[in-house]
Amino acid sequence: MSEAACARVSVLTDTQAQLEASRCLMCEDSPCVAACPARVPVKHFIRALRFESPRRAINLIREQNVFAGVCGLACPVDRLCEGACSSTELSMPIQIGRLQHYAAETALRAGWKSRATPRTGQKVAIIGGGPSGLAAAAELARCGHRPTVFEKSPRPGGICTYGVPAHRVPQELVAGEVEYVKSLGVEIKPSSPLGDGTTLDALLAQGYRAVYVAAGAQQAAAVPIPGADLPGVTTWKQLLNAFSAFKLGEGPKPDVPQNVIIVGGGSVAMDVASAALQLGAAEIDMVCLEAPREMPADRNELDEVWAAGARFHTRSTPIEITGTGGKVTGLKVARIRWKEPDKFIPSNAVRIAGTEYWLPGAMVVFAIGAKPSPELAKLLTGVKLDASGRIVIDPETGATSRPGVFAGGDVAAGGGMTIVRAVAEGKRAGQAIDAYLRGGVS
Amino acid sequence: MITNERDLSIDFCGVHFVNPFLLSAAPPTDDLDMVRAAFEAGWAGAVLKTTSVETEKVDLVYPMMSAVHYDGHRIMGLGNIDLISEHHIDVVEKRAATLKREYPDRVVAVSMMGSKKEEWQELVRRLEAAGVDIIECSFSCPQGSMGEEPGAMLAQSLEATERVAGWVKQAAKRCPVVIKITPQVANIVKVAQAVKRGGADAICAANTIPSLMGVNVDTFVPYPDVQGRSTYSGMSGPATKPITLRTLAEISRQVDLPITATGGPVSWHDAVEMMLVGATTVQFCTAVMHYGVDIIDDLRDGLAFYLEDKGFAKPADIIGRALPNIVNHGELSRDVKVISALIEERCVKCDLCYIACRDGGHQAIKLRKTDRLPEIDREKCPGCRLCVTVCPADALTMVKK
Repeated sequence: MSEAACARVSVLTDTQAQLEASRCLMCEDSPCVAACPARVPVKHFIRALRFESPRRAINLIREQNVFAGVCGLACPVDRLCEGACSSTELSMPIQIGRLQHYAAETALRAGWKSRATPRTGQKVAIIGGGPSGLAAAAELARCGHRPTVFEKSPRPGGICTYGVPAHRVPQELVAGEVEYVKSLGVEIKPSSPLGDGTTLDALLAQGYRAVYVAAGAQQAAAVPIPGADLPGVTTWKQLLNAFSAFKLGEGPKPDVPQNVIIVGGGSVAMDVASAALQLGAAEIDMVCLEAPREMPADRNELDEVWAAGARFHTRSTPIEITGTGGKVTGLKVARIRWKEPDKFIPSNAVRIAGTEYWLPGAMVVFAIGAKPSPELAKLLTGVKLDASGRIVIDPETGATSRPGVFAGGDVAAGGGMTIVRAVAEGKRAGQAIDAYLRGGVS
Repeated sequence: MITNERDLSIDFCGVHFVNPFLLSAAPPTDDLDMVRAAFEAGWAGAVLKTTSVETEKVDLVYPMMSAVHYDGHRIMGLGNIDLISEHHIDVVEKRAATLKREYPDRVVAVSMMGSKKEEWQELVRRLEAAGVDIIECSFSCPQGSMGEEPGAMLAQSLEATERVAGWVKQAAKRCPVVIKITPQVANIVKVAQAVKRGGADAICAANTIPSLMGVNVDTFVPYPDVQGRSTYSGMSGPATKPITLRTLAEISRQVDLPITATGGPVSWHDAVEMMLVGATTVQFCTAVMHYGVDIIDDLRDGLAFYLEDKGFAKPADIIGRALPNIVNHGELSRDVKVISALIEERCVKCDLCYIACRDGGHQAIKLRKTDRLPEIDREKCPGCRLCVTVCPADALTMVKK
């Protein structure tokens, strides 16, 4: 998941929100809505704020996105809604993300309850309590079904809880939005990893009529270069998980040396840099294939990391992790050029001979994506996976090769996942599961 | 989409409205499909634009619209030199019948205007035959009425108001009769009393305000510029709301007639304010022309959540709630002294309160040298509240001294 979260957790005041909402042109065509993976009715929620009905505003947002506040902060808005905003031509885009965050915080503070839906429906199991799983569960509950979410960690929220650092998305906000999902009639079972008793077959045998697999991408990728197996080489997932667990009081403070080298050019790499700085690192070196304007990281986040003093080694690739006595001492890198233009993927990079140089550092963190855990295959009998271990789905419905089993989010994505996209896939799958259950097909 | 399904229905002159919101007699109701779209969107009713007998010539000019903008915001007031509808009673009676057939649960009202007794009464008969729910009489077209005093508004004459209202009421066998008046009079209460004496069932308060929308300082032609000449417009829109509220309050306090409000509402909040000073239903026009018919969703949700939050069972429960709190100036309290107070963490240090107090108030605000925060002199501040009204950051409030 690449989340563009910059440090903007302060909630707009009522006056600021009014001022910002009053700038909205409220265009009929609403390009912001088309640019939103979750199809949040931006124009209508901003109009509701402007015309003094914040309850209507949050209802409209949550109808499409139960993680309204989280996404308001974490969405790469410059590439989504705000990037499409018609007001850009006049002055600057409307701060849609901040307005959505404001609406969500206003709702949480006021304690506005959801309307209860009668529980008449059928049992559905959700594997994974991250944004996609919870969005699917919320949709199913709204349709009258009884979803149960099996979450492996002590707390639900997935990447929102154990990935995006708390200084970007406060834990109270995540917890508040998880509570909202519960209030719709969603049961969440924390500390319930998939295992012997909870395989797909076991769940279906227990009377769950359908299953949504949103187990995420649990295995972070690393570049297979010499030295990659040294202790002191880690991944974004391990570091950010440990950082979040520490912040939540669930684990010890992760040890981070003075010099940290981070491989990756996305928002997650920037999150890792922020976390490393907070954990006491003094020197940060960022290594990525892309030139600055090619990096997928959110601009604000990148600026923050740059302003904090990190050195950027762009258009560069790691070639060897050096070490002595079982300890990392640094990373050898080389410059690259792209074979074909505008194709910023590793297979398109060519090393430029004679450009190798060495960076000193006691820790190397890979922040270059993740794929599903390889154990998943055993637990998901009858579900077709692709060569990289991801679940193959119908992009419209999330249906897998096994009837009654649906999937979405990182567990099925080829890349480019965001929280808002995971939510959108969860909601869509929730609707598809409802249709499946009503159709009575098995 | 609405997110609160609460029942918002209300009765006005014995006619049932599914919510208190309807379209006023104006451009949005001058076309059958536009009214259909409004009903589909959820409006409870529509007053079809003022019609007349077939022999009446309606001679429009274009362009007809202009607006007064304020501080970067469009349409504080909308000016229009439109006349009554070009569609005569033969067209409008069919439209009304069609709408009633297609939308039996919606209120179809028609605004009408005649130039003599026979015309007023013929219009009533034909509209009743067409099945309309309410007859609204325009006594207040800003371009003037027809007939006895062409060019002057009927509702500016107490005698004419009472007489014509009587004609209409005499002819109306089934429909409640609503008289739409103008705020452009010396004493609105006397007009409302004349309406009541004439026997009408309700008042629509109030029509647009005769205005000169602006003058082009290069060409010396006011707006709208019609080939180098202009004329007075009828102004609607949010700028007129306070005038409407005063009109409503005055009538409600003095005259026992139900009121349908019009003039400036944009949001549910505006509508609630109008109901609090006596309106039963609220008619919208400019907001719909600016933002579209689907603002009805905002109105319905906003009112529903308001009633829910305040613990009111139905919209009718809020009508007139603010009226007991309106008194004459002499009856206002002189006993409690209030002064302004700063909420420091909100202050953005723009100094606007300082300037306002210095040049329009009582020199009771100083700027602290160290941090530029305003300091209020408790002795000098008489509590006029100018500073609170200029503060862009809601950083000033009034407290008891």
